[in-house]
Amino acid sequence: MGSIINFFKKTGYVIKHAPFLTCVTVTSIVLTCVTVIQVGPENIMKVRKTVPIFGLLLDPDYPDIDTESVEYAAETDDEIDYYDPEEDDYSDAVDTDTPDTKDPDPDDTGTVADTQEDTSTEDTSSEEDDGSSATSDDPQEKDPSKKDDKDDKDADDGLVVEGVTVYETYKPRKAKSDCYVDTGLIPLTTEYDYFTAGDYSFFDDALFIGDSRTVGLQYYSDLPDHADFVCQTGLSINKALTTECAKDHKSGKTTTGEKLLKKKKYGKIYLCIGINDIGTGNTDYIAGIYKKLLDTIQSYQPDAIVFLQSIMPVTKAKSKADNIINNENINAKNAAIARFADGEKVFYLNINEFFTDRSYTAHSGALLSEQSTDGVHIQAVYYRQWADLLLNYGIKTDE
Amino acid sequence: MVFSSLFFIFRFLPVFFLIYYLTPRRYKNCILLLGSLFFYGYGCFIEKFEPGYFVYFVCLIFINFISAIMISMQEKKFVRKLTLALVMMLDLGGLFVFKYFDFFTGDVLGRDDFILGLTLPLGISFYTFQLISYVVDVYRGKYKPERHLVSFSAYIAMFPQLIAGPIVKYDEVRKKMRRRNVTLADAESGACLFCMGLGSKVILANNLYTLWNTTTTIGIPYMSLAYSWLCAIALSMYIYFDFWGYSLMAMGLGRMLGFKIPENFNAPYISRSFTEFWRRWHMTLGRFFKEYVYIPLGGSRVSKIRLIFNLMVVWALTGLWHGAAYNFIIWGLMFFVLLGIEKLFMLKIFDRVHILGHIYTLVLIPVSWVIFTISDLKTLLIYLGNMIGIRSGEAMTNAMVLKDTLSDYWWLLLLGAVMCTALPINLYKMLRGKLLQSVISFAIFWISVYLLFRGVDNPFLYFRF
Repeated sequence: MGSIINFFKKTGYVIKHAPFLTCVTVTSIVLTCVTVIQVGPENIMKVRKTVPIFGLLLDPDYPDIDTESVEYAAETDDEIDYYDPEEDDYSDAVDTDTPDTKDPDPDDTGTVADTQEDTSTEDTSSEEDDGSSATSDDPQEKDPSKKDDKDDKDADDGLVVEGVTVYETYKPRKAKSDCYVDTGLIPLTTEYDYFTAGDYSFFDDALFIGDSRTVGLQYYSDLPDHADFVCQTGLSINKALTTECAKDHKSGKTTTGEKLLKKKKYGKIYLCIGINDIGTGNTDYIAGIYKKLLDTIQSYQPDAIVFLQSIMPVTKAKSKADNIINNENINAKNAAIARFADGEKVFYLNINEFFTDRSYTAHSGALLSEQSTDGVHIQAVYYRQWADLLLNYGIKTDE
Repeated sequence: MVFSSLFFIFRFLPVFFLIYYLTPRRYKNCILLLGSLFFYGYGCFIEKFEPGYFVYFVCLIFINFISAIMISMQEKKFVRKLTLALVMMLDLGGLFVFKYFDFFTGDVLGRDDFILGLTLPLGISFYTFQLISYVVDVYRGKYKPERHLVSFSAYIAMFPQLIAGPIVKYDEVRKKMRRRNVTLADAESGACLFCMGLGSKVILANNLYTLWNTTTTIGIPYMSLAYSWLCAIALSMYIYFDFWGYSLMAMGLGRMLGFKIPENFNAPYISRSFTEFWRRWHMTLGRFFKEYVYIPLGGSRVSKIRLIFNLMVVWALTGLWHGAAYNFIIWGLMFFVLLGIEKLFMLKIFDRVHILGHIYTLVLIPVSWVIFTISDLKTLLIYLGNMIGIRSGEAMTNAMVLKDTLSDYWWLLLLGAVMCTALPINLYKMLRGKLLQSVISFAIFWISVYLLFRGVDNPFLYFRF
């Protein structure tokens, strides 16, 4: 009995003289216990490698990268090698791992019009409905590309089929995280007979949706005088339309993208989004939420042409140093996004070819380091170039 | 391992302090040493694999320990001097090889074939200076050398000040090394101080850094005059809160261990001159240069020309200590010039008209940090040009960009401005031991942890695109 009283006395002393330490200790223990109960003791180390305490603060929709990507890898190919930090030289590490992307030419950087059928179907089987996935189910396109693998681009140009999105291939590299598998594909701009618009009045019925790269476009080009913008630094795909970051350029009011889409009628909608999400889930997951965003946009604006702009890559140095924000991951996401282009209402624009070196293939690579100081964004002046080149992609509509 | 990491706060700290508090007094130094070596080893073996640096660190401690005893035992002045010279050559030689060799051969001599490409060992600038201060003080006969290897190693390796200072002198902790009582009140107020530092680092500094980081996003040539000043102000606050936060955390941890680690900052941005600024900024470094460079060179009791030379040496070294690049030398010499001018006539004016002094320091502080941060001299010139309106590129940050940035960051800049004054530290002293302090610390703690957690959860939070 006496010892119990003594214990309480001692506890009281501690609480009185160190209330802060007591509270922090107690809350930490409580939070840990709650988390353990919530996720189960056997999963505790899996959920958060860092601190298990905060499981309960997690977003319930947050995909569990570990488990999903295991399934993902199993789905695609059991033999896929994940990036092994001890085997740092990953340039020659992979060439037999992704079975379908094998390139007969060992130099590997040739421009091969590669059908989507060839490669990326297996990895991203969830979005397999014919209407929305890339358009090269067309047998005409498939055959020549398979036969003339070594032909250069000129030969392919003769076989352009309107509305088709073709891919370049390169030798895939080992993935450095569970978020992606390098598919070795770079989608090119959807083939189409685009017209070139004369001036910026072309953008009068345009809406831009995107992250900080689009913010740059809003700040440093002349587009905001004509078009509306839904953009914010760090904007993620899921929150793109619900965040209060949409600006009606005429009234200057701030609202959400969703309201803007309901209220106004747009002829063209430019999307450039995804880099903030590429670490939150694997390619399937990103493609899924991207499709959801696209579907929402189209449900409000059934007549608008939607341009899916490529996610811009990062510089070589940044790509090398980062396990998640690297160009292999970005390429994988771009390849998945490009499949949504149907050549009628949805077009894929490979803006990357104007801002990148040629480190992967003839057309796309890493962001040019002289155009980007932080490795991720192009410098202010280059946004005008970006705006200008969008003028080259006009789609004739009947109206 | 940095203090503002979840691993440190939730793994290292609880385990270490639990063991530390439960250990009997006579073994506490052992535990402190082991904990510190684990702390250092974690950085050398797990975060990066550089085991050589760990060995270097341990050997250096041992050699300095032995040489200090040798110095004190020798009667002959010549031998004492020789021993001191040799051990200093070893300490400074190591620092030179790791920190300055590449700069010296590559940039100064222009020989690219002599570059070693070594990374900097963790905390080398700080522990080297601590070792030097110890050996020199023993040589000067200020105190007898420590005879217990464990106590001495625990002083040098003590994890609160190991990586980023303050530079603690041995006489400040000597008594406590032998015998110290850690009361519950000490632990509590130390923990609160730690939280204050954590908040300064995580809530203020990390967010201010994102603002400064927009400069690299936009590209420095394209920043307008107003925008470059805004970013420079954010940078100044970032550097202060980052370093101050770290020093506070060190002080707090020191107190939790039962030591009294000296203050390193005393609201430097409210200074009226740079003379005063350097009495308030990184005080332990200023003290080191004063005691071990300036005074041995003759101090102020020399001819005017010699005095100017002495000051120039001290400031060039201060600059170089911060990093091996030309901009650091420029930065150091800038203070040499400013302090010289102040001594000549400006201090008298500022003493009469206080507001002039404040304006003068507040304008030049951002400029000095820009010089400090941008190591590419061409880019630096462009930035400084932007700040005074000499442009080399088109200004692309128009009013809209500025307005948006301000509407995102106004609260942070405002909060930062308030926290730059002496208010937080006065508040801490006023509330010390009161319940309100615990409540505030508790809030700061969980906000910081949440922000840290979000940063881990989403690696882009501090660098979102």
